[in-house]
Amino acid sequence: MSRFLRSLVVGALAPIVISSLAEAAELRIVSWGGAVNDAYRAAMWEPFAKASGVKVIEDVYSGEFGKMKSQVEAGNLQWDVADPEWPEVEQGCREGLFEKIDVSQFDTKDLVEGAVSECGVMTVLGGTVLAYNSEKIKEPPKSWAEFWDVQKFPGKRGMRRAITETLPIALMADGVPREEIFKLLATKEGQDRAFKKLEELKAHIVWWTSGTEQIQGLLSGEYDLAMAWNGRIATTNKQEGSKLAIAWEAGHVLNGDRWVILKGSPNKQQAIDFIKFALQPEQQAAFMRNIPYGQVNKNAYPLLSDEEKKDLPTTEEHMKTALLVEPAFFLEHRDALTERFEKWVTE
Amino acid sequence: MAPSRGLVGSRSRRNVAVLLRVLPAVLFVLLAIAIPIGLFLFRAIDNSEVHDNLPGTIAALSDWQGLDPLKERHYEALANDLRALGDGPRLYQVARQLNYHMAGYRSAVLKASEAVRKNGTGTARTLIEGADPAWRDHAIWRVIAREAGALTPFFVLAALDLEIDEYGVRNADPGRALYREVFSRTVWMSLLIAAACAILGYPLAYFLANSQSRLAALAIYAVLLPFWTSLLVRTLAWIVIFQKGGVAATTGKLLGFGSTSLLYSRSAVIIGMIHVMLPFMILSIYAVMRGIPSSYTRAAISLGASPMRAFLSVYLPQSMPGIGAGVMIVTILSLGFYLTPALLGSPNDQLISYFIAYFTNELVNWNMAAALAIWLLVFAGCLWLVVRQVGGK
Repeated sequence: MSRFLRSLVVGALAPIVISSLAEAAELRIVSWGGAVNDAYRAAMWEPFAKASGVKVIEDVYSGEFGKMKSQVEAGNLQWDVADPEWPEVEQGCREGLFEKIDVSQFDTKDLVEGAVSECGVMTVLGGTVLAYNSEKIKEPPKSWAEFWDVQKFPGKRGMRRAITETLPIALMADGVPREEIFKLLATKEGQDRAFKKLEELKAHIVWWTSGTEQIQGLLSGEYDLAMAWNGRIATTNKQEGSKLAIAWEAGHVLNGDRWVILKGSPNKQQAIDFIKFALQPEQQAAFMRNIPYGQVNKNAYPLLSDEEKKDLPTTEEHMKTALLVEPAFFLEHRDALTERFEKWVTE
Repeated sequence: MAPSRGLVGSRSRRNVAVLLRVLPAVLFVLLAIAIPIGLFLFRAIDNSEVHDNLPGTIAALSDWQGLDPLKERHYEALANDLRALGDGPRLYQVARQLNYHMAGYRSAVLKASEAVRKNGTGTARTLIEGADPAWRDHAIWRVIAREAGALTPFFVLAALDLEIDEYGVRNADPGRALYREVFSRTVWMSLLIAAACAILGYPLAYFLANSQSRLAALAIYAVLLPFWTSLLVRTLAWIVIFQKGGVAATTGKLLGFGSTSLLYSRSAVIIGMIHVMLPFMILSIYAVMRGIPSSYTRAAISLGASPMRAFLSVYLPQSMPGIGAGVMIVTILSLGFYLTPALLGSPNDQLISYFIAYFTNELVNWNMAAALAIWLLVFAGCLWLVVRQVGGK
């Protein structure tokens, strides 16, 4: 090998070797982007980087299970830690995509029940709520049944084009008690009933698929009533000065994320350290101040003022009307129901 | 006359040299495109998650007909397979895969697995049937017997709303039959976009190719400009124009058309897609028109043809290859369109890529995503053949 070539190779390799030594402690975290990433960064990522010296590298996704699966199967990880929603956590965990977490190393006495499992550790709890533009609607609907009432509330409604919250909410509107909804939806009769209820409203629905779209529709006046994510409503009001409001008494579907560690992550220890750090009350309170999504450490709530608490889906009062998503239901019925839903929606 | 040795030698040397020069491109296409796509498409028929994980059950069912009574040995074989899988990832893969055939089979498999692993009292049959009533029905056993092979036609058929069982292939439950309509919408929209682009693009291409004016030089830039702007930005601009209270609605109101919002409608998707595709059409036609000598048309006119006649029988036929190439590019690109319909259209306006992306990222049913992709490829191939026949090579 010529000297020139050798120096070229050494020159090319040196930075890699040096950087891998210098950046031995790093952690690649992916989350949902936008206001959620902003809140995580301010409350958890930057403080953790500062406290531990670990370099935090952030990325954005839409919770897509496929992107995690392909990385793990290819053995080429872009992320160490991710925060998918519960059904994806359950499936990924069982199919071996995530590192099993040793539950005993966590102090769980101040956390909500089930916050730590071998699959992952609960983080963001978000409500899909009945939202409305309070500048247009002075007397808002008080229930999902009223949301369906096009005589009393004329105009379009924004709804999510996905079965996850739309089907349970249809049953809520039809008067099914919360605790029976997922049991009923697992049966043919329950599914027929949900679709029948949706059919009533179909001509008045504008479907949205992303967090940006749902807000865009409310701001532009495409619709003044919508099912929407509670955190987006609050951050939009803060950023745009809009007067969007939530009818909590109507009931909401509570879905959540868990921190998971992707299988084969070279930074597993840093990941565990980070997850423990993020569970501290101060970090969780700071997060909830930034965006009103719930967290799981009970000691974080007393740190918040009443004003800061009022938009959270997880306060004692709002939990009374919450329907918790059941991961197992979705793993079983999601594919078939999605096909039926997509067929129905385009008819 | 036989060529001399020297000539053959130099020719084969030149062939080798040519081969060496194209080798990087060939390797790149093979490694970066053909092989990964091929491997992904293979998932459409890959059945290894059932085939490899239930070997005993499949062997036990090999001589079983769908109406025969089930014997204890069938249950024992299943129990042994489930014990071997333990509580590991492969158990959940089998459960997921069988659940594609019928919602509910996932928990049937998981409950049966739990029952046999706990080593309760009773035969394998009582344990498994006690765990989930689905195992008393022959349907789930028939699915396993049918899915015994290493390959399965299930997803490729499902992607065209077809089902297969012992009695042959038939239409899927109409409540779930979805994809044939989406495919026909995809093909129809692509052809429509291509036709609209050809009609809109042809006069402009003619102007660009035949005018010496400064305006023509400027117009070329106007055609190229969209290429330098991100697709996302252009689509978002359409949202601003179409939305309620947007430019389109306001103008419409002023002109007395009412103020309906075009956003989330078929028209919005078509306008958005034409806007994206038009430059491809114009440039294809323009490239061919540049090569048509203007003397031909002049000659036709000097021989007595009217300008219209000269255009129709001299110019148009010579510019057909440009239209053909443009139509081909635009239809095939439109077949795979995702972003514009997703942002501008209603659920009713989504093309097949929406579903491929949904199956890939959200539902993670890669078998189904691959099966839809295979059919998309087939339809693209068919369209290509048709357009080539009609539009001239």
